[in-house]
Amino acid sequence: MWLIIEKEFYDNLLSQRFAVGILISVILTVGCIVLQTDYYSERVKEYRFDVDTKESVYGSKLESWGWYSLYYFDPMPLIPPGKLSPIANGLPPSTKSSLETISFDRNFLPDLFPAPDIVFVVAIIMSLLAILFSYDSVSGEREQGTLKLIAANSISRPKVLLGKWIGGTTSILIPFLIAIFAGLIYISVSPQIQLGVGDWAAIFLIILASMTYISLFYLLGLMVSAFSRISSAAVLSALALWVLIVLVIPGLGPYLSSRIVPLSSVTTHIQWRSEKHTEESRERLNKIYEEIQQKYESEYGQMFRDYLSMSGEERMSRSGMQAPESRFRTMGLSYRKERRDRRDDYYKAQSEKWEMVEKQVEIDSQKQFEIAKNLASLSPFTNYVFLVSELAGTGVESRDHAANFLSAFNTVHVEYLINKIEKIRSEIIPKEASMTKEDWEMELDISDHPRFEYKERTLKNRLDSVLPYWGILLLFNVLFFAGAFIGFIRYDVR
Amino acid sequence: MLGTIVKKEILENLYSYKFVVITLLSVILVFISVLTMHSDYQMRMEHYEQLISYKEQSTSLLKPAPLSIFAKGLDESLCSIYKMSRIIGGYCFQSLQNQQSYNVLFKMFAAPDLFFLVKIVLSLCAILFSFNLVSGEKESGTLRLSLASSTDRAKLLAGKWIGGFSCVAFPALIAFLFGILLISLSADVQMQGEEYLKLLFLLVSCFLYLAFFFTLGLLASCFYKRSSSALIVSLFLWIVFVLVVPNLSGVMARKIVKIPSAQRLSFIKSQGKFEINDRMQNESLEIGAWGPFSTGYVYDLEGSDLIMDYRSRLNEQIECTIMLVRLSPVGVFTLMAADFSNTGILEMNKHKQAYLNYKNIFLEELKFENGNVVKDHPQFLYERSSLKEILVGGGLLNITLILLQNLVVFAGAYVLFLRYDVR
Repeated sequence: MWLIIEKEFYDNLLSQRFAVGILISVILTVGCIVLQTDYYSERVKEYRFDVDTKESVYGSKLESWGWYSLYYFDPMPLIPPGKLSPIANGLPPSTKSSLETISFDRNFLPDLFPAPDIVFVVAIIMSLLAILFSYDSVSGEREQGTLKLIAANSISRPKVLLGKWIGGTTSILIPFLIAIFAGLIYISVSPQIQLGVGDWAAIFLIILASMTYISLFYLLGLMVSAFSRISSAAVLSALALWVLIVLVIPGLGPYLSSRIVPLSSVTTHIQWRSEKHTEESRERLNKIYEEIQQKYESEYGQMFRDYLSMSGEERMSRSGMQAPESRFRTMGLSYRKERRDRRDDYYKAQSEKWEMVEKQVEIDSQKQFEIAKNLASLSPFTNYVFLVSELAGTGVESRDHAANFLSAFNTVHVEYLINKIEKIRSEIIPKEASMTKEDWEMELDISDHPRFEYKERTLKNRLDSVLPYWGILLLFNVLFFAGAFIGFIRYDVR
Repeated sequence: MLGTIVKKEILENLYSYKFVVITLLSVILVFISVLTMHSDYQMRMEHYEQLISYKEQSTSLLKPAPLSIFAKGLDESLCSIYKMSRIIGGYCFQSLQNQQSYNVLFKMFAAPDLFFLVKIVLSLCAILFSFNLVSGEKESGTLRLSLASSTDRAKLLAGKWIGGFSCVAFPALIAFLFGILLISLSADVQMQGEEYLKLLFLLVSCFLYLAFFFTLGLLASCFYKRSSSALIVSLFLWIVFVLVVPNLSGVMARKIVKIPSAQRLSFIKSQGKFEINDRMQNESLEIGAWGPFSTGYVYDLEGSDLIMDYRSRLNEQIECTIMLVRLSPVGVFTLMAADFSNTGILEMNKHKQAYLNYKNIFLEELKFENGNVVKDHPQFLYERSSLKEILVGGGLLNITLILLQNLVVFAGAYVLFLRYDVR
């Protein structure tokens, strides 16, 4: 069998298409890595600059404005670009808030012309190459007449097939690996990139995954070849299958899922943030105020009507905390308190409803996403893309991890703000007079605000979430080999 | 004589396994594509109708383009909701996520629209029909017999081209018409006269694009003696043109015109808010009044120098990409298909400019009293580009370019065929 492997290997190596194919894959691989690494270096520089400026900007500004500016103290947590993003672009990191502010100015060019990364090169181009190398592996040999000569030997058919697979796949993988190593050397000498042990391990796993993927497509071509008598029919069928796997099934996934789980809660979400909704809400609140007014009117009669016709200062002087005890004062205090309480209750109920709307959107979109992902997993292409982007830390689950990290930080930050503001207000509220300019401009010390520190997922974590994808790729390998086996056993070699 | 050659080519192909498979494939794929995209269009229309009564004066809420069924392009972004939002001491743009932005997979995989089918599948098919047009005949020995008669090589090549391309174009046309029929029969897609004209231009661009790849296969066929070499080389060229060149142009443009990343832009906008606060504070100190809007002046949070600089640089990068991408017929086709369907870069730029102009008018006409707005805001109205605007804004240039590219490849095939050894 070793002989067969050698024969297949050299057969491929010395063919014209090999030379052209290798040229393309090497140029593309190295080119992609170089371009992506440059882009990554720029973004890292940008990130470091932003982190440094942020501290100074916030520190100085807030001190000069006074305590009310705490209300819009947005710590703007910054996430560093993924260290392995030159290999797998995946998805850009985004938080909900940044998506909103910049959606208008978003760079939409990648939607029409996506930038190629290694995942792109392997998933699309290498898979096509693998098919183009293997589609005439059996049918071509039959046409040339060499297949019957091999079959006339004492070697068994399964061994021949195995030899074809190993020899052929190795002949494609070797130049690919050379190209990848050249690219990796470029990455390691780039000044901006510092990869740790975990990162190199991830890269190694990505290379292994790519090898599994390429072998899968070689087996696909082999299988098609073993079922066709003519090479040209084989190439047609193989290309049709490639189109189905790489282009059609992945594209259909999201669209089918959006039919199965339509996101109607998003419409509710948007409706809630419209002016119409705010007006309706304000009307409901006004009705509540009217109720309270009527209640006090019926209880206190003329005294209440007098209260209403007074100016703000008069009211405070006669019914404020400092005013002398009287029935008027009791009425004023309880009226204002009841208004405040009812208003707070109303807002609390509204915000609870709003939280439910938001939660519903999250649940629905998560469901839709799961269905889309599962539908798309029917194609080895999507499995590979998911696999590699998760390993590189730029996939969907990594993005969710980042989002959770950010919202956890947000909670901590909001708590900090609430405590700080409460502390300051508690020093002002006893006066219950309107705030003076000095109050607004109180000196502020925010040096104790929580700092954002991002921790990536550990490699083991990522590996755990990625094993099912790998399993499916291996399964497809086995499936296609079995198919090729069945076809080849029954193959008429004459 | 030309007629005979054409007839022979057509008949030869008609009975081949290739033709049947590809016709079947095109019809099935077009059917699936039209169904999927139509369903997508319906959902987006429903979404639009539910939101239309909640629309405010300053809201930009676009109806999905009917031709987005055939070429989705940037329609998702175009139909995003924008409005003017009042915060702190001024106004800024607020955008709201629409349905498809929640499912991240829409961004990871291309939409299975007609444009995608033509770009990838049908162009492959075109190559598969033409790679053995000349070299195949040489291998079977019939080429020298054809040339032994009194036809000249030019006529022979032209006849082969016409005959062969009809076998690609005709099933494609049938499949397209089938898809268009399905769409026009459905009640919820309203297309007026001009939309059909735009659709016509879209179809013309599809055929010009397919013609390029057909001729490319022919070129390879005229260069190689063996069909298999011609096939391999054409497929490699296909990979380069379809998968590599357009994407590389984007990357090149990114290197030539650098713009800050999304995260940095967010940061810039926050800094803008800080600057506004500074100014507000200083002005209020002078007047002696306090609180937002008490100065009666409203700040344009979208008009800061940093943001304007970002916007002009983004436009530069877009221009650069368009120029580079036009080097490949795939790039030209992408631009054309999206522009004629009102979902392309032309439309995006027009919309963004329109909204920026609106913002200026909006802020000018703002009138305040005691911190409350007293005058009604002007309405934001927007209509998608007309056919004339599309043609003038690059459509005609793109058509000319792809015709030129076709001519270049055909000239190459012609020259090679003249020197071809037919024995």
